[in-house]
Amino acid sequence: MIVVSSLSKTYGRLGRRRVRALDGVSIEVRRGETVGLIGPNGAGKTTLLSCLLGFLRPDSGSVSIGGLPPDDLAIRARTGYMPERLGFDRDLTGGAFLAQHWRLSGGDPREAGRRAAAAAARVGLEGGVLLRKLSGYSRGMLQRIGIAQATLGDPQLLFLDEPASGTDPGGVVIVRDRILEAKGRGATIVLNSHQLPEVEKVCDRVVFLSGGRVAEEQTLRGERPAPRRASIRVAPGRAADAVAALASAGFAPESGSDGAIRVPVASDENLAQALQTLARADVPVFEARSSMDLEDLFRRGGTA
Amino acid sequence: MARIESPAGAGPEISSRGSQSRLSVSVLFVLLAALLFRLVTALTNSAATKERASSGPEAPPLVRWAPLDKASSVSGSSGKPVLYDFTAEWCPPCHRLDDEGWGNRDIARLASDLYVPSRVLDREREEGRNPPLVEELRNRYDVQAYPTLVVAAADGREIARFEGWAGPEELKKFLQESKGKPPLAITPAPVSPGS
Amino acid sequence: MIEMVRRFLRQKFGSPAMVIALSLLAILTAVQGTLSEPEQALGAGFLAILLIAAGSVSRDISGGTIQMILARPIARTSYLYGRYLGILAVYAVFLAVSAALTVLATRLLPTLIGAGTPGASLDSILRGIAIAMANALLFAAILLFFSTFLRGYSDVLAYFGLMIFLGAMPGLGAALRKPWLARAGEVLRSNLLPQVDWSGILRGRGLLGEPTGRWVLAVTAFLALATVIFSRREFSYGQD
Repeated sequence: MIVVSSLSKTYGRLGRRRVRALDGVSIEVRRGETVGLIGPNGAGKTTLLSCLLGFLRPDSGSVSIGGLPPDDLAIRARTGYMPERLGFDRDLTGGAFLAQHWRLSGGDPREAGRRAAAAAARVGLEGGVLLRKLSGYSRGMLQRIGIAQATLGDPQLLFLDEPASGTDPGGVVIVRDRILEAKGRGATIVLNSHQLPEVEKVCDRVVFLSGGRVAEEQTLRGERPAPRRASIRVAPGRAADAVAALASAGFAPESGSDGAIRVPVASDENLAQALQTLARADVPVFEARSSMDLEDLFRRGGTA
Repeated sequence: MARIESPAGAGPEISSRGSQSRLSVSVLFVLLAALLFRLVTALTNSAATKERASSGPEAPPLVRWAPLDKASSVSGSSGKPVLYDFTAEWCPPCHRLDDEGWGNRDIARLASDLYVPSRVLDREREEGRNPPLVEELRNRYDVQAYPTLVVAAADGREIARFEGWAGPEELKKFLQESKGKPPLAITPAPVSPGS
Repeated sequence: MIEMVRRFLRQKFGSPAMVIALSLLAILTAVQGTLSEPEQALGAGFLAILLIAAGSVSRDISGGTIQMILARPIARTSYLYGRYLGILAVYAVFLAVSAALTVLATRLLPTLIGAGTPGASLDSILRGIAIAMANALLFAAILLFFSTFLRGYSDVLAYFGLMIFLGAMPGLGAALRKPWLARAGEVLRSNLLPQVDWSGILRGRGLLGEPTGRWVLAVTAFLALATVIFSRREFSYGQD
């Protein structure tokens, strides 16, 4: 659905330092896939998103969505966009804002009020709130309105820039629910995020950008997911025994900085084997988690 | 817009509604049309301009205008002072003066009977400079604004002047009152409306 | 595009400062129209257009609202012309209010000061409105053009800069004894900031005259340039 091919984009004018925000980035996103973009600040995530939305034109390379250029109105009509910081006219109420976006998306103006209320209800904002001005909304409320606006009309494409940043915990869940709901509809989703746990929960694939390049890609779900890393917390003082037991069983354990033991495991079954190994060695296990350990990706700094 | 076959599975066709960064052909078309209009108006006007340059643009017909170079001599022989009408094509109040002043029968008769009216047309903006006689008259009477009416004796001495357009009544008053005045020794402050 | 016009109207009339400023200007215009001629008073709504049109596009860009709008299926030209029509729509309301106040004032003034006033004929008022709108079409186009690539309210500064620069060229040419400079200045000024005798045209003279041709070209050119610039503009969104 989305094909980014050798995309390069440089910022900066004469006299100022030119920053190569994107350097030969190539990514493909299948229809119905949810891809997360992660990476350090300045890696080019927002620039890439801007190129996907047609706000920026690539210096070289190409972007095509459904075979069309990203700023084609047909693509825009099927797109929902949630920026990191919501842009709105100060005097607008929440309800008027949603209604305006409904109309702008080409929706029937007569349904604007109803659709706005429905969208707001889905993100946990009840009637009275919509009558208040956006300038008076809290950060969490703005985030909810943002995802509500982006999912108006059930778009086939969703572009989300830091959708869960700085929200109250309830807001994080709501954003996640909306994303999963869109995913369930078969929408194609690209999102930027620093919230790695959230990324793991919703994304099929993760692209790690660093210095304007694709450093790594990892599949989280699907036919062949990437190996995981288990994080096992054992009884205090027994960490050394645990490490020894796992090592002799053929695992490659490491002591984590938080006292937990990190062990690469190939699958859920593999994790079960590791736990059985520890049980046989009489090491009490207090907690066991397995994850993609995207943090590790960060720590490794990518292979760029 | 050609569709690239996407190996990533684009699904059912989405038909293009137009990319936004392409310059619309219609914008170019409109611009060309405006250019054409500009040229047409310029050409039709320059043809009329050449003809007007010699005889003066549609001098208001109700007034009996004397040719500029004969004004002084006609004034000398008839005993009536000259009434110079310093005017320009691009000057909107001058058009008001032409329409509501010289287009008014009573005023036109006053001007023609009491004076030797003559049009002094400034064409510096259109042509870059004026004929020598126009320049000389402008300098002699120190004409800064348009329209300016200057009543002068046959020998060229200024008698009275009126700057701007203040309505038909004011003009009539000026014409009636200036007739009997003697030439000035020095140029006074001009009579301006609303000052 | 209608949505963009509606939005512009709401942005302007939703701002108390703007409403107050325009109301004051309307009153001023009405007073001037009552004391002299409405045709002239209404036809000179320079300040009102400045207030209304300043930063028409650049404010949306600096405020970060433009990305969310352009992410929707709205053509860039729809947005741009929506802003332009919005300016003219707000100005039309301003003119209507000024005209109404003028009529009111001419009715009241005789009873207040016990003197007659020059008639504020309907003719004169309508002509004044027509002249004002004609001037606004060009003025708004110039400000819109500058707003597509200058920040904040620099579009207003740029307009004044252009006026001053073009106005100074003849003088400069005379001072430096370079008549070609004066001539070039005159050509530029008459084509970029054409003066049209709308008063005369409304009375039936010179409708297809050269000034009209220049005016049509100027309005078209500024709008066309604005279209090209805005269509190709890029919008970066914050930092990574």
